[in-house]
Amino acid sequence: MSKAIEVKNLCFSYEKDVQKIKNISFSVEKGEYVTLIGHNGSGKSTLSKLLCYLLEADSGEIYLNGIKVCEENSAKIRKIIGIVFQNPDNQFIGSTVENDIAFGLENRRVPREEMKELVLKYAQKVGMEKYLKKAPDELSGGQKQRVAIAGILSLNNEIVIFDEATSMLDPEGVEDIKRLIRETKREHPDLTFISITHDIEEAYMSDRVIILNKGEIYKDGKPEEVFKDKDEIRKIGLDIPFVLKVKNALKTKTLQIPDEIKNIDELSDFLCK
Amino acid sequence: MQIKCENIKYIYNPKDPNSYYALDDISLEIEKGDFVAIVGKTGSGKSTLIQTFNGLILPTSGYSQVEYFYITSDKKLFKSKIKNLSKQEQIDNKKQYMLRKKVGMVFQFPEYQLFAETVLKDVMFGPRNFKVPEEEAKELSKKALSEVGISEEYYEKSPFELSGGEKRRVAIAGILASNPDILILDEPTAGLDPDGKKDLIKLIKEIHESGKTVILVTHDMDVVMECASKVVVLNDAKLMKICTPEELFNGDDFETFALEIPTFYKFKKMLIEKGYKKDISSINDFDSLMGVLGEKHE
Ligand SMILES: Nc1ncnc2c1ncn2[C@@H]1O[C@H](COP(=O)(O)OP(=O)(O)OP(=O)(O)O)[C@@H](O)[C@H]1O
Ligand SMILES: Nc1ncnc2c1ncn2[C@@H]1O[C@H](COP(=O)(O)OP(=O)(O)O)[C@@H](O)[C@H]1O
Ligand SMILES: [Mg+2]
Ligand SMILES: [Mg+2]
Repeated sequence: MSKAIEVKNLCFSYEKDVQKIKNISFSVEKGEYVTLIGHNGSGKSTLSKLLCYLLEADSGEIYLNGIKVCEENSAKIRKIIGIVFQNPDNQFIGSTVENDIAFGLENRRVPREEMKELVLKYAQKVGMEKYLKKAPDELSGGQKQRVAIAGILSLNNEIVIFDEATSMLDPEGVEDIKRLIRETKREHPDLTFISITHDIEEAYMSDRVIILNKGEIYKDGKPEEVFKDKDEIRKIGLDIPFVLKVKNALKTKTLQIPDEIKNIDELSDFLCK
Repeated sequence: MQIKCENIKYIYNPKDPNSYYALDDISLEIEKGDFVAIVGKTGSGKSTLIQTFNGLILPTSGYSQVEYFYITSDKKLFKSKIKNLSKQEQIDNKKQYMLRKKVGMVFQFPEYQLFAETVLKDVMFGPRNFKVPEEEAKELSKKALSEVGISEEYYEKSPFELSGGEKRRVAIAGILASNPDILILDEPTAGLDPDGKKDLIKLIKEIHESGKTVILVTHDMDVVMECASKVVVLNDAKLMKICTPEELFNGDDFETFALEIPTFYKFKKMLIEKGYKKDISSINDFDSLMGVLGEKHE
């Protein structure tokens, strides 16, 4: 079994007769870095809550590492998958930063000494080590997001979902977290990472992009394939990455840029050659 | 001049010995009809500064001024400033209700301020608060909701049952419905999908073109590039720079302010640094740059 996630014919509605997830099927290999994008209200957060069993599907099946997501397996599921929510206030449970990061570890009965070390280690990773004794109402939105990220990463789950987990950080902060994820993935190549985002540049750099549109999968594949048809992407209110915009614009002027060029650094190298 | 700050300083917790200035000696002027972007890294003082414009934060010393309203916690200064105003203006100054009406503020995470039972009621709260009659308030609210892309089927929903981006849109509609003269938005595009972002920018631009003053706090330099006529750069509670977007992006003090340069300018700079064969230094828009790059390319 090398599939981290398998979703089969998943359906979900909050209210009767209004399906918000419409018969979705897909699977994710272990170690993949998937970005999930789509318009506001397309169902991204809903799907991620279904994966973590925070919502229960109307029909269809989900397997994480081959284990069925259902009531009976909920404890196992929580050990496999972790999520950082869109709104960090929904996540802050502890009375202080320290307690909050420790919360998940406590649930796993990690011994005290080890726990203390882990809390400090992960607080440092997100740059919050100076705030360990602070209460949530003394923190900015971005700082709460950092704490939530530390709490999830400390658990070493095999699957991690970030639901717009850096939306309240400034560009430097976003870069810090991206670096942290790259590091974590280097240390644990089997980590399956799903990032829900409106940042198409991030999507372009991931292994695979899934686009949701009105509760359905609109596209699913490698970034180059998914963003290939500009008009199809524009049609559902999304945009294409900068590098592709340049490639498209130059193509109309009969200047072909090779496919393997993926960022502006390589692009400017090529143009200055 | 419509808005002015004169040597304002602000400390959140004056009694705490470890406290520091969140605003440190800032002076600036904003004209009626300006489109101002306020930029700077997290904690630089952006949100603090704009909250002095609607009286939510009173400068510890110095004063902010919005038309005939004076905003300061320095009582002596306040008295001396309002002394020569008309009776009515003096009363307005003391109550600040009129100031809130004049200056509409969309907070950094406005969705956290949603509270009413339904989306429509939530948006109507603003205009109702300013004594707009029920029916008119309803019309204004519906118009504002449609402007932010929230359709009729959402009117009777609870705001708590919306997606993140939908909540953001409803919260913005709440301010638009009150039709303020000065519109201040604190990072309004975070969490919006690309179309939502474009639509909101278009809407803000239209509001600006209808003659209003717009002040926008943002990390998104593409938005600054597209909209602003003036940029205010804050760093560590201090005013660094007031300039045009082009001056800011073509300059080289970006890293010092920890700002993210728009991809377009990043790309242009890379080309120049790597010795691109033609002179592109004065090109400041995408299409013209593509024109040059694609020009008889052999
Ligand atoms: N608790 C709820 N009760 C009823 N409807 C809901 C609830 N939460 C979300 N919805 C609706 O379900 C749909 C999908 O919402 P979801 O939060 O999954 O969107 P999203 O893709 O995460 O959007 P965003 O980019 O704005 O975060 C939306 O139409 C939303 O209004
Ligand atoms: N309610 C508050 N209590 C104490 N300090 C605060 C409060 N709000 C902001 N600060 C501090 O004031 C400084 C400026 O914050 P802020 O204006 O929110 O910055 P920005 O909006 O640029 O991110 C920061 O150092 C921040 O920690
Ligand atoms: Mg969401
Ligand atoms: Mg702020």
